[in-house]
Amino acid sequence: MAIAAHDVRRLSPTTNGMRFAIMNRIAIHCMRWAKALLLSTVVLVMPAPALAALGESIDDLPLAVASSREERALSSRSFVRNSGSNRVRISLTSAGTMVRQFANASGTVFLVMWEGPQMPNLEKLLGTYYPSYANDLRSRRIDGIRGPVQMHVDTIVVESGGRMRNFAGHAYLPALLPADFNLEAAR
Amino acid sequence: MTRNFVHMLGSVCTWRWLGALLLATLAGCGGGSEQNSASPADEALPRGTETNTNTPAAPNVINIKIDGGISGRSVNVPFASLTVCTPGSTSSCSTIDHILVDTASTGLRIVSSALSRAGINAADYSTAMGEPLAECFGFVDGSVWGRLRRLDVGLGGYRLQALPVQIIGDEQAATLPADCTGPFQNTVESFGANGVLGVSTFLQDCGATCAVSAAASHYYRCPATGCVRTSVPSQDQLQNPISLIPDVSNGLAIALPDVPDNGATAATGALIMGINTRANNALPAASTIFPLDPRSGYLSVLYKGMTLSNSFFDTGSNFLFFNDASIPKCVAPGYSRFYCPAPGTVITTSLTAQDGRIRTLELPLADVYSRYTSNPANSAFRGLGASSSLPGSFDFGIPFFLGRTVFTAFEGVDTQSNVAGVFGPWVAF
Repeated sequence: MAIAAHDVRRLSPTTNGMRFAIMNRIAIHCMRWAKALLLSTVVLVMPAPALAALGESIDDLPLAVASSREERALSSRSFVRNSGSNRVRISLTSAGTMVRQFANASGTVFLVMWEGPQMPNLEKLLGTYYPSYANDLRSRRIDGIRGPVQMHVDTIVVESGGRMRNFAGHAYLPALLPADFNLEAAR
Repeated sequence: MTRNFVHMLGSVCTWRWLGALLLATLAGCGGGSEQNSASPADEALPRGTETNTNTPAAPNVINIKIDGGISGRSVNVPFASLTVCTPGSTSSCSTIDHILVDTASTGLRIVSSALSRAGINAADYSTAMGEPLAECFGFVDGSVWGRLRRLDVGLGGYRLQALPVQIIGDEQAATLPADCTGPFQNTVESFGANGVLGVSTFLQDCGATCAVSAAASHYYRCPATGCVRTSVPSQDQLQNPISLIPDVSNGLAIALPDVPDNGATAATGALIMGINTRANNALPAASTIFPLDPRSGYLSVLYKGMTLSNSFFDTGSNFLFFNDASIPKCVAPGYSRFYCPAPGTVITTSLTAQDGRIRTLELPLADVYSRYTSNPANSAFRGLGASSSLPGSFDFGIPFFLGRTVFTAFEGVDTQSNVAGVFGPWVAF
């Protein structure tokens, strides 16, 4: 997985402290993932806050352009790699939260995982499933649960936890989850 | 526990009570941004406000009450009542009840409708360029958006002057930026409280991340053209308010009473500010110190052979949240997330203490469904557990805190944090 980290670093040859810290974080994450995922080659490297929603095509991701120099220095780097018959798009939000989106053989995102200092943009990541997620949180508040989110409905599963400065979670579509996919191993 | 504090003395200047308010006027206390005064123990203190069943017995004590909360249906949610004043005013003050006491976030945040209902005008808080400052913060279960403003805030017997506070749902910050996303909790109803008193081990809510980078910051400067992300120096961010009080800046203890198996309609305890700085906040010799990861605030917990390295103690969590497929869940509709084990079930976690030894922590686990349905009027329960299948985390919520005094030392290496030769952050009980 150090290869991928190296690839990312090559995109931004001018290093400063912050960028170096983020690249280090990528490298650390990548080493962790290497245990779970048998990687092959990096097939695509692009600077983009890659946030395809669940159920959408991983190939239809918009390329966002960072507007300021500071944002460019910290803008999301994402790359897609093959993992068996699935593809994984890995991106880093400007706040340093790692987002991984798993697409099946036909390119449809069935799982998104996140981990980092700030919550990611779930409106974008959950897409059409976001309203039911938001509704579930509202009813949950009425029910009086305070703590990590666990939402299991027919079409979507969301698990989200952590505390200020450290968040982690995942959301997936059970109907699209490949039969042989190991969620535990992916994390 | 709190009874002992009644005898605690240390008067610096005279308190004068404004009706039922907890606010002390501090005339004669001198300057400085934080002031300290203590109430003579023999002074008759007014009782009878609904939210103050105990008068503060010492200036470093904030009463905590677990009750039904805003909705009347809250369970295991600890609240404080805080007195806030228009900065500099000794008359324009009001007490805001049902402010969540949260050891897993940092900063005081008050919902704007609660503040306006109290009739208090906050002062502006601006960037160096004179632009208003706002914040979009994502909690696990939703986001808050609102402007930062200044309020004088009474914490126990201390008064923090012109403290930056986030005003959640502030209508003057109505220009919600596109990159601040929900689901939002910008109302008292959706937030489930009138505010939150965040007293985690972190001294700021964001820290270095938001200080060095606008893109990574959850702070926004708001010129007339709209709000855009901005970096904010750490000292200008939302602070852990206790860390600003010199006398007690190094940490706190949460002391909550035990409750019967069937629960209690309410439970009253205390947040005691400072560790080993006053007679009433000494760390008992029998306590065990558990170091926390300085970067994450987490600690590692061993549970049934699994190492859960993202574990934490959180008064803002109202259950024990952990994953154990071997414990039966409740079968009743709507209860499927909760554990309903056999009577007498006890779970055991192991934690590594500062001295390197493993200490076991046993927690009773109750049948949530029968507890709830048999005692619908109760709002404080031991033994409530709920599943969280995120790997690697044991979230010690309020059921852990009931019947304990839990000390938390803040991050940092100043001499005041140095207790028993260990620097914060740590937890001890």
